[in-house]
Amino acid sequence: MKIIFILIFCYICYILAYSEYNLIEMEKQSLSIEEKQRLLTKHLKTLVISGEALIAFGLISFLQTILSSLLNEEDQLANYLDETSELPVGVQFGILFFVLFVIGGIFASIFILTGISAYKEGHGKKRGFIYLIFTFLLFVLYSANLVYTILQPSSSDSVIRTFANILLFASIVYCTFDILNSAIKSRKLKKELGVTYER
Amino acid sequence: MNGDFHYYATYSAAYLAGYTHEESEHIAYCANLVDLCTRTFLRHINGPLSAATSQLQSELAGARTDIIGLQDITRIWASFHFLPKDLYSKVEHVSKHYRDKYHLICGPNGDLLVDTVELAKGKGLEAIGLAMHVLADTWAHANFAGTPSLVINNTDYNFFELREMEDGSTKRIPISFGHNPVTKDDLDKGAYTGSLYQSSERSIMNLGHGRAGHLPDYGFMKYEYVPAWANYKPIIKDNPSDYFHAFSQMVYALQYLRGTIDTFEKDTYDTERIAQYEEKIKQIIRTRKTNCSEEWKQFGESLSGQTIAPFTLETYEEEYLNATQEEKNNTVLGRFILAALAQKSMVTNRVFASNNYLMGFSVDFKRYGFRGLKDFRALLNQKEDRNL
Repeated sequence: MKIIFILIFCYICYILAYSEYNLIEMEKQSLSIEEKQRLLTKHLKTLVISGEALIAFGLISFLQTILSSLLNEEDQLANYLDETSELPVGVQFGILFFVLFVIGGIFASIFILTGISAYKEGHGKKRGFIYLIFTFLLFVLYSANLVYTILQPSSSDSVIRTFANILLFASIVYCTFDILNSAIKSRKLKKELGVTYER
Repeated sequence: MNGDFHYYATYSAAYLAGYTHEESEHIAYCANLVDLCTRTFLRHINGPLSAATSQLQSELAGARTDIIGLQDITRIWASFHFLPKDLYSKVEHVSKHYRDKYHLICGPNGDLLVDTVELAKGKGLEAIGLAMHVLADTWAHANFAGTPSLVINNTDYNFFELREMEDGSTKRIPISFGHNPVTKDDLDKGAYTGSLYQSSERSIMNLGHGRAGHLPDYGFMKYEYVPAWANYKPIIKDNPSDYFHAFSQMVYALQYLRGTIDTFEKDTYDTERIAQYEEKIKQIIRTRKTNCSEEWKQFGESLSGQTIAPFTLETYEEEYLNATQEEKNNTVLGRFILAALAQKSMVTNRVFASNNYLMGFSVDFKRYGFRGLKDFRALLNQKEDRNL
């Protein structure tokens, strides 16, 4: 099973590297203004689509956190309960759910705000570089998550769940990479073409 | 194109090509009939359903989108409204399925246009009218395909009108599409009605130029957009120029069909014959209205000096309904039906011969005898009658 996951991970890396190689080769040639315009349209479209995907991932991760806490994870949450505490068990559960809610919300907000920024940049609005920093952090985090899940799958998770997690993490890695790549390239092309940000 | 061009402009082109007033009216009627000869109409006159040249929205809503249904839809729309430009164009690094759809993209001056015009020669005014409709639509509906396909016909938010201002500059105005079919297009605000985005590749919403609304049918509209097939390259659609080319090419084609010219060639326009009317024609085309019937009617009447009867679908219904089975093919609607069957058969055969099965199978009658839909037997009988 590990071998399959490693193969999937290698395939994803190959796709990313191949598409990046093609773009680099294209850009090495001296491109006409029309070609640059076409590439710019492509990168802006990518920002819109990947931004929408990141928003969706944010909502999914929030729902996943909340639902798994409410429906399935009670046994695991029980590990965090202090039976010697004065607080009733129900209150402790409530506090735990609230903390999970807040943490899940913060995490989802990062996804959503980053996605919205990418979406708006794809539609021609000027965006700063802060959202790109968050995108890079998400890229690093989920790349590590992906590698860890492949090499050390959780013994408590079923094979299907592990596979689903790998797909999810791989998609997020691809999205964040796409956003970084397209944002940098589109800004460079806009400078070369003298395109302004207002539509 | 809309009825104003298919009826009144075709009348004007026919008159300029040398046809009489009555003949021009007849040709114009048949040209406009192509947009209205649906299965509902054919059922009403007890005509063969295979001769349908268009589909109502209600018919499309109930249409099957499996392979058989898609072939049926494609046969109608690609044969009469989105005539493919180049069935053998080169496109690399794509699947055969995509290539087949790419080959159905409509455009002017294709080989199939020559086949269409030549097919109408000697077949009567009805066939001529049908051919003129097909010719005109190759200009208006260029860059769209007559098959439901998201990857070919889809558009996105990169849609701008290139409007010429009074000071001669060109302004790039964003266009937005609503999806309420009842709402009228607002030409001033740039708010138009288009079909709803459907992520399904074969959805009816992705048929033809639905995603661009009625913009291809407005003569005054010059716009820039990014079609799904163009690999992010924006395309500028200059309708004023295209409509003028369509008109001048119609005049040329009509002269060939009348017998004044020996051959019909691509990329040829009779601008000499219409030179004295060029300014007037361009002015009508550039009129910022969704329906320029009044303007085209006045122009046509100024050419002939006679009143052009308004288009009435029921004009020849009684003649067809009252005719016996043997006489039906000699009525106006009967000849139109034969022309429609011949056009559909020809286009399907050409597409099939190019190893493209999106329009289904085409049978070589000479080799295999008659096969297929019995409606098309009428073509065989017509050919045999002429041989006799």
